[in-house]
Amino acid sequence: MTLGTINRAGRPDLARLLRAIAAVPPQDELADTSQLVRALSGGRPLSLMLPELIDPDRADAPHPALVYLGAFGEIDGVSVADDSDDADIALVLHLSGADPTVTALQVEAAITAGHRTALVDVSQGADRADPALLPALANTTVYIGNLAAYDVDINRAIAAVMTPIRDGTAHRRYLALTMVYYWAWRGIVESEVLAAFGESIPPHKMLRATTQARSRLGAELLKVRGRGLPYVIRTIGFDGGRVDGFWVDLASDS
Amino acid sequence: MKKLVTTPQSYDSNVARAQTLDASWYLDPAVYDREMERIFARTWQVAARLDQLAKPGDYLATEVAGEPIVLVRDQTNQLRAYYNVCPHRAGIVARGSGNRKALQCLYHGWTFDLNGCLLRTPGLEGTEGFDPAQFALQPIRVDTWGAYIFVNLDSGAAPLAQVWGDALTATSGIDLNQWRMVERAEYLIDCNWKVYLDNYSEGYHVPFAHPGIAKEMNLDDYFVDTWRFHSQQRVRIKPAGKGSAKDRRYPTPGENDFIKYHVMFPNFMIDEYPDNLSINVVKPVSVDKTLLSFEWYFKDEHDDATVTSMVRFADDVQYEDIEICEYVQRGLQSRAYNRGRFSARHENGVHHFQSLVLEYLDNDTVPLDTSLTPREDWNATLHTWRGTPARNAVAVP
Repeated sequence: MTLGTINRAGRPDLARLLRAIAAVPPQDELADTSQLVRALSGGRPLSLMLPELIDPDRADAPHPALVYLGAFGEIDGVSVADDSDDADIALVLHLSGADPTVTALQVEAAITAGHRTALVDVSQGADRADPALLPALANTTVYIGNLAAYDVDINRAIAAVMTPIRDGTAHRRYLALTMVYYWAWRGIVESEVLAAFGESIPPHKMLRATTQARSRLGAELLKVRGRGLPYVIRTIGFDGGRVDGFWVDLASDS
Repeated sequence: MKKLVTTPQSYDSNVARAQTLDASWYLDPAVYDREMERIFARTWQVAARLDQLAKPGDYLATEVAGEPIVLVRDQTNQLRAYYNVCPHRAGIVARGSGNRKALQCLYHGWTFDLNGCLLRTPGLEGTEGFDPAQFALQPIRVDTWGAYIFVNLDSGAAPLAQVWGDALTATSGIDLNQWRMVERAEYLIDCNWKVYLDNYSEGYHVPFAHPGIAKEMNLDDYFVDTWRFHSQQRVRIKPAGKGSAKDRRYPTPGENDFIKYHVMFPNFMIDEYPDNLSINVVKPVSVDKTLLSFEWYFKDEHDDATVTSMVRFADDVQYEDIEICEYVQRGLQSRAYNRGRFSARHENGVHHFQSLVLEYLDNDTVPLDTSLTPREDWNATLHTWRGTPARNAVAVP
């Protein structure tokens, strides 16, 4: 079964997933993901909680995630809960300079406490994940397929959390696509391909480039196979012979 | 695609007369399952690096031959390995890695000390005739070579040093403790694990498949020596000709500069170059998928540019081999292919590897032979083939 692709602009196409779920013409015509999300969630606001920090030395300082969210600006339809009992979701932010092991333990603690938990990695900017974060998660008891979101973009993570894609195959598809693109490709393998070929891959080296990307990404995917994301690479390609034209087609291996 | 019929394999012990393994042995899941049981559960397998279990209390959960295992360094600094299976109802006692004073089952909380003894069993009131001593974690043989921790699921297996550790150290001269790991990478390849090992075990393909590294080698001087459980390819490095030095990695080799490739049966390999070496471990994932891990070592201090350039050089060879292995896996599925023949001059390493595969699959006991003398005297063999008198043997370092 084909799981889905990363679109030609290089990003997991959440809007496409949402349109498939909504499957009704008026929503299908909504171009903007956030509009689509609001339509799908019936306008219900989302209440977030930010898990307590594990590091006692920073207990008196303002919660860095709150600082980040404040700097980011108000997110439409989202509020931060004072009481975890009032929250829909625990949001763990992996911030710049944060220790991946500490973040992973935060995620583990939130899940163990029974919270639906979303992980947003903003440590490397908006277009790549910390390569050390998923191995750190794999060193905990966290079943990665149970995360409500794993993303590098907070808006998209919240969209994923708020919509019906949180259940079933579409949700795992979203997690797998963000993981393979932002963590394995952007975080690890892309720089190796760039070092070998530059930004543009000559036609006679295309087979070599796809072999390199496929074998390296496949090894990374294997690391999370037993944690709820059992996917394999079906095909990959580089549109226009360019490294930034990378796309991937995943298939379920379960 | 051809019909898959796996038959018992006839195999000549003489490479000059032998046929290669039947294609079905690379395609049949039943053969793969048998290899897991008869080869990978009876040979020494890399489970971790020593630096992953540096301190007392360090633990690491992993898998060997499809079995969940956990490695620990106990409070007396002793390395231990256990099946990662709780004797209560088969839960796991460790996930990931970390540092602990005890291992606790994630299912019902049964707790074990790092010696594997059962410490606590919550809520066992009313259970009759329960003897905690009967419910220890089941131990696994553990050993080390260089920077690596090996395990063997066969409790009767000979120590690693006897199987190949001493022979490897003696015949290669490699003391891994003198080397420093600088880089690591993993690759998932769409082929059976034996396709990769077959390919690795010979240099016959080098001039056709590896133009970059072929330039470094005097291919007339490429030989494969075999011992009981390991083989060693050695090729003398060729000095660069006029004007070609800029295209070369080793343009001015010393008289005794060789490139060597060591295969330790079944799946541990070492690429040895004058200035670096890499450890290469093949892990079967399924009948047609293989995970390959590479770790690069340098003996002396090198700047980042040198390391990067060496890894790129090795990576080029690696991706050339991956392409070949994936083509071969597809070719093995063709109705046009069943078995081939060996080049007696160039493919005795492949024959040696395939012979060991069959020996392990067919026999309950596989006898040791700790001789350090290679099985083939190439100086004599070549002159026999050519009908010329043998020269005095030239010592190879």
